[in-house]
Amino acid sequence: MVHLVTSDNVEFVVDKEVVERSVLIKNMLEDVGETDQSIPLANVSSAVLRKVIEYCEHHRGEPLPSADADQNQDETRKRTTDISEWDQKFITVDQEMLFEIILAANYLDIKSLLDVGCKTVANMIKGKTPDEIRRLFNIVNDFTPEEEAQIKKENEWAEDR
Amino acid sequence: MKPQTGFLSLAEELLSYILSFLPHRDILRCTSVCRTLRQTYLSSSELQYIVEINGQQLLVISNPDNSIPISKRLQRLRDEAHAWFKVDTRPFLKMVPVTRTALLREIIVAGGYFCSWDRLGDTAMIFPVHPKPSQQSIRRNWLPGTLCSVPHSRKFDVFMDPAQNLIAVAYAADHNTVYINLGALDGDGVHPEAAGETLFLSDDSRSVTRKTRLKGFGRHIALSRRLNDENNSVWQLHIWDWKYSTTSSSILSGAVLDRPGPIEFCFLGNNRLLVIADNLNLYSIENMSQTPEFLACFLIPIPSMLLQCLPMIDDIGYDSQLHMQAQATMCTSDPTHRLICLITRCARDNLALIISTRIFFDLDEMAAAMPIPWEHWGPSNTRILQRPSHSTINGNRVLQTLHVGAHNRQFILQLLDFSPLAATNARGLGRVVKEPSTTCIIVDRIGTRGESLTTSLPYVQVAFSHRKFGAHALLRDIWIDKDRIYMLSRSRSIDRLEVIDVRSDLPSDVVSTG
Repeated sequence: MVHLVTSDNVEFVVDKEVVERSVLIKNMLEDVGETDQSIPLANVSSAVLRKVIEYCEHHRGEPLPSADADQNQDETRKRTTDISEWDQKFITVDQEMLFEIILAANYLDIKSLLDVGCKTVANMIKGKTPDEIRRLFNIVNDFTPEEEAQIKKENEWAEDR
Repeated sequence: MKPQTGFLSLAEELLSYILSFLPHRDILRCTSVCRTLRQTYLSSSELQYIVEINGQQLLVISNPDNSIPISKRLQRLRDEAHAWFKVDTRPFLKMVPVTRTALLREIIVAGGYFCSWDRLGDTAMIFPVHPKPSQQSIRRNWLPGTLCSVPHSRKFDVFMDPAQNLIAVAYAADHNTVYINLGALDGDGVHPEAAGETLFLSDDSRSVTRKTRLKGFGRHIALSRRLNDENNSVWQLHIWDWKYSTTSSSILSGAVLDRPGPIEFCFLGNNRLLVIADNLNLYSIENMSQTPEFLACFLIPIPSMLLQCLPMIDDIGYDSQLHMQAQATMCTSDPTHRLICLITRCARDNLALIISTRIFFDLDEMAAAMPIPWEHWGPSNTRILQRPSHSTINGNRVLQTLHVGAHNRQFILQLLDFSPLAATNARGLGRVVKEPSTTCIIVDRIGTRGESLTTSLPYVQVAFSHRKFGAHALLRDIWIDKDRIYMLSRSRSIDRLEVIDVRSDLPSDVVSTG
């Protein structure tokens, strides 16, 4: 069992096999060997870690993507934004939690969870106009009207084909 | 209290990772949301690469080497597109003398190979045009009687596909039964991937086969022919999945038109076929166990008997052999966003119809129900070019020659790039043509003009320097592929194939052929 302590000082005790989906923790454990000492995760809150562990529990035993496979698919990666049913349900959370999960997955280096999060955000953006995207994420348009017109003109070709 | 985590609070690297899951149109839309996202795009080679690939309407087909950074690959992609706008067409450097070729020879440069077939002499040849060191070369000469193993056979057409190492010969041995022999280009015997040595036509018609045309693309081979017996004449189109079966139940036919040549057709990617009879008829050939499925009819205001379809030269195989080592990424033109070129050859009044293939893929459910009038599909998806003397097409590029002066010896080479990013990649060179143009169409073989058509598919055009041939010289044909221009000319009984490497880092060359 591995002891994890979150930024808000909550301790989690998790199966080694489960927590090793995180490459960060896996490497850490390999470096220090068997230990009863708890690992501090200063960037992850208990609410987020709970979700992350839920994800890792569910995907327990699935093979980790190798670094090689990752390289190969990198660019030819189908830019499909397919997410499995369980993952989709899992990731149905409010925006803040979604971004927190992405940050945690990135920090803990859990590639499959990072992809689920990023694909979900991509799906939210897909098909929306710039204005709709601004409203979606509460973004302020900080372009001058001239700049905006210029960019729109540059991108025109993609819109009418 | 901790500040709320919002989209823009993610690191740039994460933002660009998220955007990399999106299609290019959505990526571009994000760039006009706010400065942060615009900056994300501008500092990500990967995002720009996705946009560039789509803007040039390419497909990445393999990516064997990731050791070349994506920023380099992006730059190369842009430079290669740009190179087409500043081709150096000055005379060439090297020349290999050879003997003359018969004027009736059918010649095509495909996949970096010079392929020719001489119907009368019953000979054929293939050789790589100025091969690059890494190229595996096929070099063959077929003497009379060797094109197929059946003695005294009458040949109708020959199709060579160097990318697949395939030579297909349509012939008749006795009576009028037509067969197609499948061989390997680089050796004798049956093609190793073929379902058998011979493709059979399912009906054993006693009619006389005339005006045949054999073409292939990927797993498909098709033969079009006219059948004449005493009373009527019909056209037929047989399609085979040559790696799978030697017989075919995929057949189209119709009443013959008043046209001189064979029925024209072309493959659009792997599963679609366009037949130019009456009008443009689109079929799906995905399921080869049945008659091609009719998808739509596009009405065209030019009599189809006048239309000839320029060959679409596929360069996947060529590149796979040629550039494997040299290039990190292999791209091919996207079959759903490329061009086809139909030409009319009428006296001195040629027309070239450039049609974007997207109209053949972007169909609604009702498309099969009613013919689609020209007004609905034509004007915005085509561009009619006037009086090219020769035209050639590859992906989204068209190269044409226009005669200047009285003696047809001097001409201009003109490149037209129809890809959406052409104007960007031209970097100020060339002329952007967005305005519609109006052309008087031709209605018969002697060049009578009919109604006017307005077309408006946009492109960028650049004209290269004038070229002049000597008093006895004649330009016979031109071709382009991904990075070369080929010009076949004849002077004093010698055919010369001039090769211009578009990428300026390579010298131009000329090869003489015979």
